[in-house]
Amino acid sequence: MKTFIRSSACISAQNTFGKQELFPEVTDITGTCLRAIEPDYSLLIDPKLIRRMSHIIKMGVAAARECLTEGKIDMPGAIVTGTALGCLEDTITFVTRLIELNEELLPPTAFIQSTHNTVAAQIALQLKCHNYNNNFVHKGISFESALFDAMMLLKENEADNILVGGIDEMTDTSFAILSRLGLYRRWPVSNLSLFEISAKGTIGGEGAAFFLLTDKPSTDNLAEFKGLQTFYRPKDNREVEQKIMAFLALHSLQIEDIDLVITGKNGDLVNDKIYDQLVGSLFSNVAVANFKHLCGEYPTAAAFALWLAANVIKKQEVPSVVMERSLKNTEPRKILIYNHYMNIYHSMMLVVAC
Amino acid sequence: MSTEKYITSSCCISNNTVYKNGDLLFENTNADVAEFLLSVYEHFKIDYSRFYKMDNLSKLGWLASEILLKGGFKKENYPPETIGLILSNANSSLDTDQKYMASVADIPRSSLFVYTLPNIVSGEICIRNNFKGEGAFFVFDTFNADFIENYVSSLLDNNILQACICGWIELLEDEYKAVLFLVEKLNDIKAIPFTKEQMNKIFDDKKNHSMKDQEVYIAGVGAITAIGNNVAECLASFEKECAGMAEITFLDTIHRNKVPVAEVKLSNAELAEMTGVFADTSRTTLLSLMAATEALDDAGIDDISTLRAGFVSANTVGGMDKSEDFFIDFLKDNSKGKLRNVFDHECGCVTQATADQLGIKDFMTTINTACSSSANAISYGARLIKNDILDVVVAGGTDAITKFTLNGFNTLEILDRNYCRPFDENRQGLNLGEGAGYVVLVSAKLAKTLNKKLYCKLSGYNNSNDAYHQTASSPDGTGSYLAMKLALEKSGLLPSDIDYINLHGTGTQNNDYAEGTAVKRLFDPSYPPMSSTKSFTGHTLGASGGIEAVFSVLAIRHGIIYPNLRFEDQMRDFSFAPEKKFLTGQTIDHVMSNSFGFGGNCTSLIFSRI
Repeated sequence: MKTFIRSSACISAQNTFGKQELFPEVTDITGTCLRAIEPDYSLLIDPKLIRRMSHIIKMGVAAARECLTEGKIDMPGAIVTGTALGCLEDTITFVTRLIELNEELLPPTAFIQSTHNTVAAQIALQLKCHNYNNNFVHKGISFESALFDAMMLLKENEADNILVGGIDEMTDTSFAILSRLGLYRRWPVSNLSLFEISAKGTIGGEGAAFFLLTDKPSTDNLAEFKGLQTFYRPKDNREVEQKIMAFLALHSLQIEDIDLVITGKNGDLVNDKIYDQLVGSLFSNVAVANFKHLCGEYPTAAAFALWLAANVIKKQEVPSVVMERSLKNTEPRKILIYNHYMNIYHSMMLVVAC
Repeated sequence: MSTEKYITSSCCISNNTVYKNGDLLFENTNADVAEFLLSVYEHFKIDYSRFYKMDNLSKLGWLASEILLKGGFKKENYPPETIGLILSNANSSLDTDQKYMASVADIPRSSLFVYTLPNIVSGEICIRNNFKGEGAFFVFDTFNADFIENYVSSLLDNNILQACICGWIELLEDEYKAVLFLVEKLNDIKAIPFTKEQMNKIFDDKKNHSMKDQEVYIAGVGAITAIGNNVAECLASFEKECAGMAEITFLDTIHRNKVPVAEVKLSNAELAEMTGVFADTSRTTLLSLMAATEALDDAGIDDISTLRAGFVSANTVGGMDKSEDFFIDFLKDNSKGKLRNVFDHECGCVTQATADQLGIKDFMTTINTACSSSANAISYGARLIKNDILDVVVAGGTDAITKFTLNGFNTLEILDRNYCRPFDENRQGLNLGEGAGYVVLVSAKLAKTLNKKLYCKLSGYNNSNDAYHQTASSPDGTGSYLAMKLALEKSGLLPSDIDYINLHGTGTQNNDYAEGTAVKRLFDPSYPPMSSTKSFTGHTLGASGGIEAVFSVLAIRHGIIYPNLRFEDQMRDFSFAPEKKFLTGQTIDHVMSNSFGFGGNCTSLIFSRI
């Protein structure tokens, strides 16, 4: 059985939503955080509902809707989402009020929408979709966990046309706290020169990317989603290399067969050591691309990478803005995505032409 | 005149497996249709040279009839004219029709042409067995048990036939399924009543098995709640009918002495000492460590590092208890607030900390679907085993009471100011609880190596969405009805097989009415005993599915049914009431456990005696 990506939709710091081209114009921002470019939600969601929705819910629901439209599917067989931090805006609003108002006379709306499963629930609610509905909240592999679930559902013949997405939002408060935890650059940097100026810290990001997975072949499919594997706290770089090689071998491939590797490089000195070393060893003879200078770093950023890979394969062109080391093969048919989150959670995804 | 009729034998061939009377007789996973059918022929050592001439549909049906009749059937007891065949499928002889059409372009092959009628399979079976009774072949979109029951019953009732082979024989390209029933008027030990329900059950049961499903067993359990710090203490409290609610002791809130909650009766310092971690660890993690460690110890697995092991844990608050402390300082000055207190804010941090302590690193993830979270964690864990990704999964969930959740439910005005009364006409809302509950799920292969008695198996599960409202359940209980009904279908059981329902039963007006309506839709008019153990533990949110799974497993092990405390008045809309007393000495084979949550997320689990 094969898993295909039937369609995709992505809201990110780039102009990625509802566009024919991958990056019609590249956003170049000098700062330490990239915020998503929001589409005109009134075209996608009932305006009465928009008013009550937080940023993450709007992004998620809009991306999900667009993905269904692209895939020409009215009712998904299942809805599975991944979000590490969930509905932060509403969570912070409710915590702030409960402290400031000393637990008295609190309005319930923020609490109601603060639960992490709100995006998946709102998609189901709007579609009146009674099918399987799940939500994963596991740090840097939240999206991968959701994808894994979707792949199992297909394999089990439990559902087809599975809507799977990765969503996380950035808020002023979370940015302030994560900055204090040392995640981001101390000084503003142009996102397009993120990899040129080496320093501690990355740039923050957010976004929503959704996919429709099916086991039915079609010329309309974007790509085949061939495999996914995650691993936890590798001992050293040698183990990372071994895991990647074993993953490829599982699909009867070697690194030489891969046309393009998309890495999760994010501009942070410590974080990027692993990628830099791989580019000099296992990946030394393969084209390499990066994406986090375009969308920023967030726990479900791998969803952006999958959106990029699936569309690169469909369009058969790699935008120069992502390239680190250019292609030997100008018609990329096999793409490996390798991402790690703080060197704790590592994930590998294999996307190939149909 | 209507007579008693029984299914005296059944055979199902599908997805590279052969089942007879529910038992797997043969499996050959890596074969295409033709190879598989030949391997069945060879495996059962049948010698019948006509087999090689048959088309695939006839081979399939003929093999199913051979296996169906093998052993018990005494055809000499009946005149040949009274043994008939009533068969059906969806695509007639299309598989061979297509092959024949393809051959027409070249040289039409008569050997194919003779099989371009579906009833040829009946002919092959009759030739082999010298059956001469009435036969018919019907075409339906899907297996129509209702029709088969009526048609075959009338043949037997009117003495046109004394025995009948009936069922479904479908084959098109790579897809195939044969399910045959032998129907007779005699009632031997293994016979089951000839009804459409039984036929559907056998038909669907095989549908589940045909996924090459492997069983998932429960080898260990662990729980910590307001009624006990471990499984034994919880059981003792049930027996004493002693609830865990009290005035708020540990949580620093203005609601103390105003709303009762069901706190775990240990302080963070005590929990930290018992689990060997720092005292500033989130209470959510501390509770998780207590129950997950107990469950894994209980499973009696020697060395988990030699197995493919996973930890699937659910929670809804993460380290919110610590984040609340952080925000008090942070809101005054955003350069203030102890970072250690926000470091484990994410739900995933709780899982990670516990997995590290348990020594599990092959697979871990966290689920948050509000109050159905840990029921989903258990079914996800089971699927990881069924898909042969892992051998053992510790699955369940944890949640601590925080100001965030207490105030949240308070703003929704669904907290009972007294001890909650689930499923009572005069219920006033829920009591918030806290705790953690985990089961250790193991594969059939691992189960055989464990030197202990397994508790039971997870036989069914379903996740459906109510798609009605963000926080309220639909009045017709659509989501809960679907979850229960589809979990039953997955397990191959009928509503009447369920011996006890552990209700979601929060005690809110909305939940209990919606859940009650769904129970009525599925079980009316004969209701199994049911109760909400939230009348003891309060509503433990993301932990409730895990904790109540543990209680469900224990109900089977000890033959007990838990009381629904403080129940007085039956709900006006329903003709059933929950169990009021702690019952022992019950035979509990199948338990259904319900967990429904915000966002319309509804999940039911079914546990079955082995």
